[in-house]
Amino acid sequence: MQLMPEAVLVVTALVLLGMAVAYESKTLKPFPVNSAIGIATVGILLAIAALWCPPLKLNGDSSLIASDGLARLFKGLVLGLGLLAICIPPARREIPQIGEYYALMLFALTGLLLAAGTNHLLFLFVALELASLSLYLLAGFPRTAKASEASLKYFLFGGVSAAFMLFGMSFLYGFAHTAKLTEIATALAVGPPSALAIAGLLMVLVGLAFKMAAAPFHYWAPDVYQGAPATTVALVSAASKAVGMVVLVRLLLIGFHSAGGSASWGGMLPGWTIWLAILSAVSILFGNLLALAQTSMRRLLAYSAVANTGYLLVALAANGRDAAGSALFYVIVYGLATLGALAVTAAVERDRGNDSISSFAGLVKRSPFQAVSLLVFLTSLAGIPPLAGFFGKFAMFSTAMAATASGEKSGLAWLVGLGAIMSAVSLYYYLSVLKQAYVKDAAEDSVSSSAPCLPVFHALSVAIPAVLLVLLGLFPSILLAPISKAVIDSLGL
Amino acid sequence: MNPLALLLTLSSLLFSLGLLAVLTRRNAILILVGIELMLNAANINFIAFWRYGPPDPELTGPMFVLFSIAIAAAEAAVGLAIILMVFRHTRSTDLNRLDSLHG
Repeated sequence: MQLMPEAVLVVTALVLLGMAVAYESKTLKPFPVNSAIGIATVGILLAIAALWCPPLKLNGDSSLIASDGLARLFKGLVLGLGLLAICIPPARREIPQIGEYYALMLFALTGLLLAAGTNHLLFLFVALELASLSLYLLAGFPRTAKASEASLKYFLFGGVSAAFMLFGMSFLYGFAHTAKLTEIATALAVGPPSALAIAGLLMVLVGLAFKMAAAPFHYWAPDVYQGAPATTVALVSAASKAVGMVVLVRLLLIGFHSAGGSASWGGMLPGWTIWLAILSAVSILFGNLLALAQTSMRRLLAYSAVANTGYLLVALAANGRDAAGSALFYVIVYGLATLGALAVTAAVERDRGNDSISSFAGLVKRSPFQAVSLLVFLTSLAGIPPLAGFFGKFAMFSTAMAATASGEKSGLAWLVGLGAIMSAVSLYYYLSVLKQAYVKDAAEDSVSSSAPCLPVFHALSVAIPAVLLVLLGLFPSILLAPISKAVIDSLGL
Repeated sequence: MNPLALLLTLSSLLFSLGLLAVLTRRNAILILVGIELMLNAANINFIAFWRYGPPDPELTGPMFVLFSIAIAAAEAAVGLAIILMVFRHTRSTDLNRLDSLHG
């Protein structure tokens, strides 16, 4: 059964919704957060177990609901990231309707899973919209001016990007008279891509760049990261970015592999790799330079998300199987690191009341556990060995150097060089947070000398990513090997 | 001019009008209207390519339109709910009044 995990998630969401409504109308008290998290956790664990259901043999082709290696592996990984995100509890009385909130989390995850497992444009659009519409609402759940502003901005930018994507898909349909990526690839193999196909792909890429927060389409990201609840931000930054990468890999390497052209310096050939290279260069520059000026930890993480999208696009611009595999590895590593950093930020906010970088001062004295985890997350984001972030970036940059479609080696050196230089710049802002946490003492008037103990769920959402990042840094092949196997299985380049 | 080209011109005009509304208007509801125009321009494209293209037994074009109409309706519902929520805080739907988030 291909759609068993999604079915389990939807049923769990409906059960959760029903229980919350029944409980609230009977006792007139809000549904307890811990039970909601517990039910959602059970649902996600059941969905992960359902991944092992044997796939049904379908008549005809299976592009609508692909059950290839990439789909199965990433459904599991996205469910894992979603589980970690759900474990970050909302601040006290931040969210009045707990049942609805966690049910929508599960619906958003359902949309993300569906999007990760399809080679069909219509199905992809519907799945992405299911995820996005849930995420817009999830951003606006707290009844504060900030959250509703974040939600409105997210919605307006997301709506325009969806319109761009649909318009681009209509051109692709007009070009190939099909919505299946494999058949679009056959249509492209006949001759050079027509203007219709190029315009269509460009518009779909604009839509996806919005969703991935690539500069210059990143304007929603800092506001959403700052205003939305931490749980939502964790889902947006980790799970939804991982799915965005899978969608890009499928679209570009299955559908448009032959129309890639080349983005190597001096030997450029027209094709989508050049657009990706430009998008990537702009994201790397903007993300890193704007992150330098931030005083809010959440906005800093948002600009770091923009910069990391840039690094991911470097590997995609190489238009090769190995590079795609390493980008898919890095997006998971990045997701774990940013999710953990958000969990620590949420804990500091709970203690200090705001997310400014100066409120991290003296964190090592207040809570050594949070400080050590934060060290792991931020150094992994900065790419310092032996953490997984270093290996991921190294793998991406080296595969991007090794393989360009035109055959000449190291054609993308200009882009990889830019990425390497700017990730050295990024050390500055990551380390300035760590300096606050380890070197600076908390201000005199702050009363509590030790942070309150975290709830079990919250502690897990900090500890598990930290352990995984160290583990993946020491033994990257436990994730890299399955990913490259899945990429070979799905792309078959 | 053949009918396909005419229809594509119409849809491009609609899409540009919608995009213009999104870029110039400061009222959230009018931006939502612009987004709906852009979605409907895509629908015209799908029907035009289906009608004047080679026969398509899978009816991909009309299917796309059916789903996108449903999604546009859901999007309008979600959007208006969010705009209402913002209105409760700022007493306006003007985007220039939204300035609680900054670096």
